This record gives sequence, C-alpha cells and structure tokens, in this order.
Amino acid sequence: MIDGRHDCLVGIDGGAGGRTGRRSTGGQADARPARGLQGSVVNETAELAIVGAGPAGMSAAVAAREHGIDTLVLDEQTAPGGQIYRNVETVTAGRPNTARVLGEDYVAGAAIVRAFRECGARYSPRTSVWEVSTVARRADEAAPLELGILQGGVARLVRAHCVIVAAGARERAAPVPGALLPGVMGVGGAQSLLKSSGLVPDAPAVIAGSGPLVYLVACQLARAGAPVRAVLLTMSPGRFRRAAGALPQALAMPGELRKGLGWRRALAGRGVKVMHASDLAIIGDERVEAVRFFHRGRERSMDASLVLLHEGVIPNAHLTLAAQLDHVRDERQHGFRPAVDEWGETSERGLLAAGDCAHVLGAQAAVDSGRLAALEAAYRLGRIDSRRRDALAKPHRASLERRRRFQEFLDFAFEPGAAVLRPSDPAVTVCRCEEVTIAEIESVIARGCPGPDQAKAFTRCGMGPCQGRMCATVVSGIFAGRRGAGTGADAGIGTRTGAGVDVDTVGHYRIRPPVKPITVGELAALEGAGPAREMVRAPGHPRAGRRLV
Amino acid sequence: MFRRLPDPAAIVTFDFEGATFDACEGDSVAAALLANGVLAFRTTPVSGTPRGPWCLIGECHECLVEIDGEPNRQACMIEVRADMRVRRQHGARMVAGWREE
Ligand SMILES: Cc1cc2nc3c(=O)[nH]c(=O)nc-3n(C[C@H](O)[C@H](O)[C@H](O)COP(=O)(O)OP(=O)(O)OC[C@H]3O[C@@H](n4cnc5c(N)ncnc54)[C@H](O)[C@@H]3O)c2cc1C
Ligand code: FES
Repeated sequence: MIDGRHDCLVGIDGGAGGRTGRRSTGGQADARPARGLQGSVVNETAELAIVGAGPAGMSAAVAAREHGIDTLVLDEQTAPGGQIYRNVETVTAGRPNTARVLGEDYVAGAAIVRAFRECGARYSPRTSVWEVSTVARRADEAAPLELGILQGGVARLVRAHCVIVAAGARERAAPVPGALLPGVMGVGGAQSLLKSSGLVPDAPAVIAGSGPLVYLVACQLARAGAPVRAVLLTMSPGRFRRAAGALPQALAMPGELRKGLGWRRALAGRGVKVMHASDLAIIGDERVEAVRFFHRGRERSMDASLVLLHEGVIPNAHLTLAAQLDHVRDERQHGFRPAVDEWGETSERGLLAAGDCAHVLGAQAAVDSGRLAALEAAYRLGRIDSRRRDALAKPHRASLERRRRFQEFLDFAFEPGAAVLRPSDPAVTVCRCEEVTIAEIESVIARGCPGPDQAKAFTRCGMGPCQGRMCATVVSGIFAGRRGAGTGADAGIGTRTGAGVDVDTVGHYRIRPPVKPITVGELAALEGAGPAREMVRAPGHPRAGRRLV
Repeated sequence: MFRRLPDPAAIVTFDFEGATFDACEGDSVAAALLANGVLAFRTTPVSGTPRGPWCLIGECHECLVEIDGEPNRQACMIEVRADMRVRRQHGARMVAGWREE
C-alpha cells in the first residue's frame, strides 16, 4: 500500500524477464524499479498501475495477477465497484432494501469485487490520479510511465512499466433552459445517491432524457416507491426508424434486448407515464418548480421538485487528453475518446485504456476490454508469449464484438437530439463554472474565433473548476454547427499523427494537468520534481510564472 | 426532497451552518446535505446564483462547499465525519485544477 509516511521505493519481487514487447521497448532487460531512484520524489513503483476500480480496472487487475504481475490499483472512491457497482459490498452485506431496489444485476457485482479483493493486487482507495505522464521515459526504462496521485492531502508520484487507464464515463450535460437550478441532477447522479446512501426522491420527480440508464433508474426509483411523475423521452422519434434498421445488430444480445423491453413493461405496470417530449425547459426561481415541454405538438407543463436528466454517457478522457495522446471524436456517441488499438493501447507505448473511458460499451465490455489490456501488459512484461496472449484473448474478443454490434443499435436508438448536441437557445448557459452562454460563444465565433480552445481566452468557458468536463462536447458541437465543416466524423485530434487534426483548432479544449483539484501546498511534497514545477508555471494557474518552492 | 430506505446504518452528526444534522456513516457530504433537505450548496462567483450537486461522481464541481474552513471542497467526494463543520460556499473562485489553500 502507499503509505502516508514512507518516502522511499517499495521493492518489487519477480521482475519481468528479458523479453521485450511487440513494439520493442528498447533494450529493456529488467522491469524492476531502478534502485537509483531511492530517496527521490517517486514514492512507489509497480509493474502495472491501473487507474479506476470499476469493472474494467478490477478485471484487468484480476487478469494481471493471474500472470503474477505486480499490480497497483488507484481509485478515488472509498470502495471498489466503479459507477455501476458503487458501494456494492456494503449494500449486499447489510442493506437488503437497497439491494432489492437496485436489483440483481447490481448485486451480481459483489462477485466481481470479491474476486478483485482476493486477487492480490495492491489497492489504494480515496486516491485521485491527477496526471499520467511519460516524462520519465528517458530516465527510467523499467518504469517509464509516471502517475501523479493525491492521497490524504499529499501529492505523490508512482512509476510503472505499463498503465491501464480505466476511468469510466460520465453523464453528458444536457444544456436545456433551467438545467442549472438546484434540484436538477443527473439520472446516474441520483442513482449514485441510492447506491451509496439508500436515498430516493420523496418529492415529485420528472426523469427526462435518453438512454438505457433512463429506463433502468426509472424502474429502480419506481420500485422504491418514489413519486416519479413521468419519464420524458427527448430523442427525436425519428431515431427509432434508424434503430429499426439496426435491429439485426440488436439481436447479437437478445438478453439485453429483452431486459430493455422488460423495463418498459415494468414502468407501464407501475403506472409511470413514458412519453416523447421536445423543447424541454425547466422552470423555477431559486429551485426547480416545474418542467415545460411539447408533446405531440402541444405545450404541456408538469409540477416537479426534482428533475433528473440523462443524455447518455461519454468517456472520461481528461487524463488521456491531458497526456496529449491521440484522440478521436466518436461520430455516433458524440464524444471524444483516446485512439486505441485492439488491445487498448493508446498512442503512447505501454499506456492502455479500457472500459467506458476508451469506448462506451457498458459493464460487460468493460470486463472484456480490461482483461485484454491486462493480457497485453502480461505480454509486454514477458509473462506470456504472443501465442498464449492471443489464445487467451479469443473469448473476450468474441464477447466484445457482440457488444459492439449491440451498441450500434443503442447508439441509433438513443442518439441525443439536436437540442442537446447543438443547442441554439442563446440564453442557455453552456459553461456552468464560468457562466458562459451560447450567445457569447456564438459571438466569438462570429468574430472569427477558430475553435473551442481559443474561445477559452475570450470567454473563460472551460476554465473553471470542472476543466471543461461539462461543456467541452457542447462547445465543440456549437463550433461544428457554426462552421459547417463539423468537428469531423472520427477526425483524429491528436497532436502528433500526420492524419490527425490539431486539438487546438478542432474538437476539444486542450486539457492540462492536474485534472483533479489540488493545492500548491499539496504539491509541495513533490518539490524537486520537474513536472510539478512545470505545472505551477502552466498558463491558467493563478500563480503561473512562480516557481514551486 | 429525499428519504432513506429503511436499512440499518450508524448515525453521525455534523454541523451545517450552525444547525446539527444527522447523517449515516459512509454518506458523502453531498448525500448528507440532500438527505437533510439542502438542495443549494453554493452560490456562483460570477452571478451569485444558487447551485446544487449535479453529477454526484466528482466531475461537475457544482457541489463545492466549505468544510472545516476550507473552501472548494467537493461535497460528493468527501465522506461526512462526526463534528465536521460544513458551510455553503459563496462565490469563492477556483481555477481549472487548482484549489486555493
Ligand atoms: C453515474 C453513473 C451511473 C451508472 N450506473 C450504471 C448502472 O447502474 N448500470 C449500468 O449498466 N451502467 C451504469 N453506468 C454506465 C457505466 O459507465 C458502466 O456500466 C460501467 O460502470 C463502466 O465500467 P468502467 O470500469 O469502464 O468504469 P467505472 O465503473 O466508471 O469505473 C471507473 C472508476 O475510475 C475511478 N476514477 C476515474 N477517474 C479517476 C481518477 N482521475 N483518479 C482516481 N480514480 C478515478 C472512478 O472513481 C471509478 O471508480 C453508469 C454510469 C455513470 C456515469
Ligand atoms: S456533484 Fe458533480 S462534482 Fe460533486
């Protein structure tokens, strides 16, 4: 474990053999940490470091341990499980009502968590990772990748030979009028209150949006007896025709399809209204009072104290964006994700991504992609040869392929409407932190601002505490709509590949570390570490230009 | 606004702006405030409008509060502890990634 007091390296037994990786790691003869680093600011090393203990990270850890890899798993939550299985140990051990409401798919997560707990990986909860970097590549061939972590108010560095980023996904922001009012939250957000604390709404609630999670959570809340007034579906009804064309793909996973139909039946059985809605607006002064929308061409309104929104999830790509890896914009899912190969390796050698942060495909696919990434790590570390790796990968590839086909259907069926992807109401605030409206973004576009990153300088959008997590895809959408050319279907936005388009001019804000909130004092523990000093000089930081002393 | 499912849990008490609130062990500060009917956690530095938690998984930073005198703490990511002192945050500004000390 990373210990709050020790400051020197943890030696690692069973260093890798001399075999080098597929793309040669260049004369690497021994994966053990370089002893010469003793006493430096690197606090811990591992052969494999994994960011995130959701289904992807936990499965990667279990698979890595099967090959004897020294594995360190870092997660900012208090317990393993990720978003889907948040708090599952506590709930299954002693909260029967919460378990009943969440259902058997959730409870099944306890087995995955148990396997993870028993696998022998070092697990570090309450630990946020604020940077993944390759600065050490030249200095330290055995452990060329470096993670900046924050634990109990102290910043530390971890070095590893391979890193798997399994940071999951987050809910896409829905830029509808009134979305900033207290009492409006994400559907997944409300569900996380149920998982962590057994909380359910007991005031009139409206659920609005698109995606499987809308149905799942509506069912869970209805089962708990919450006063769900209605489920408003915001995707354009026309989507269903395209989805119908993708029905053969849906049949790749008949069980999932049946589950979806079951949710619809369950809601009908409990008398929860499910209806299409357009032009959604949330009304209220200091808090939510009602929702207004159009249904079949007629304006309707409904009193509500809570409004839960959901427009699908997008990859949590801030760590990989800040590491300046190549990224692509996913045309169907309308989000940015790191470009990865069939094992999940990014444009940086030894740095892999798995689970929803690499491609939103849900929990089972996260398990499969986590295992594939671990197999590749085992190969790189010389634990298995390529034939064994490929053989072990087979069932996971087949399972992933089925899920990819099924996802095609989902992406059609639940594609968010234009009101979410390219909102045009000038009064709507897109950047929640700095309170920048669509009108302001459009005005800088009209004045010739070439892209989202430049818009920051003019408007401060994306420069607040969330670092653009909530507004980046929307601002990109507005630019795309205005410039006609679009942000480019699957346009590479990497900064290095020739095929890519520069991230500065197209697509996404440039993201800089640290990607988790940290104070200069917390960073002080890293005195002498190059990257930390660089960060304090980074533009945007309130003390930019000063040295860390 | 929210009620708790009737499962067993140990109670801890904490201070919110001078009032004593009950919470359950393991609650995040955000869950504990919501369970006590508090929806607005802060006012914004730009227009002073009230905001409450949105994502509850540490991404949106809408839940920033002052905990034991320290501003810009993410209520959804911090476990409530007995005798914690929590206040709404009024306006304190935080710049991308950097929390003031
Ligand atoms: C709020 C929410 C609720 C969801 N609920 C469900 C559900 O009930 N059912 C369902 O089928 N799908 C659900 N999903 C979809 C979900 O993305 C996948 O089903 C699944 O959880 C993906 O697994 P994963 O391992 O890729 O990522 P996750 O399960 O999201 O795990 C990622 C982990 O990484 C950690 N992490 C991320 N960044 C950092 C960092 N910088 N430092 C340290 N730790 C970090 C997080 O704390 C998290 O534990 C939900 C998604 C969200 C956003
Ligand atoms: S509610 Fe989004 S960060 Fe806390």
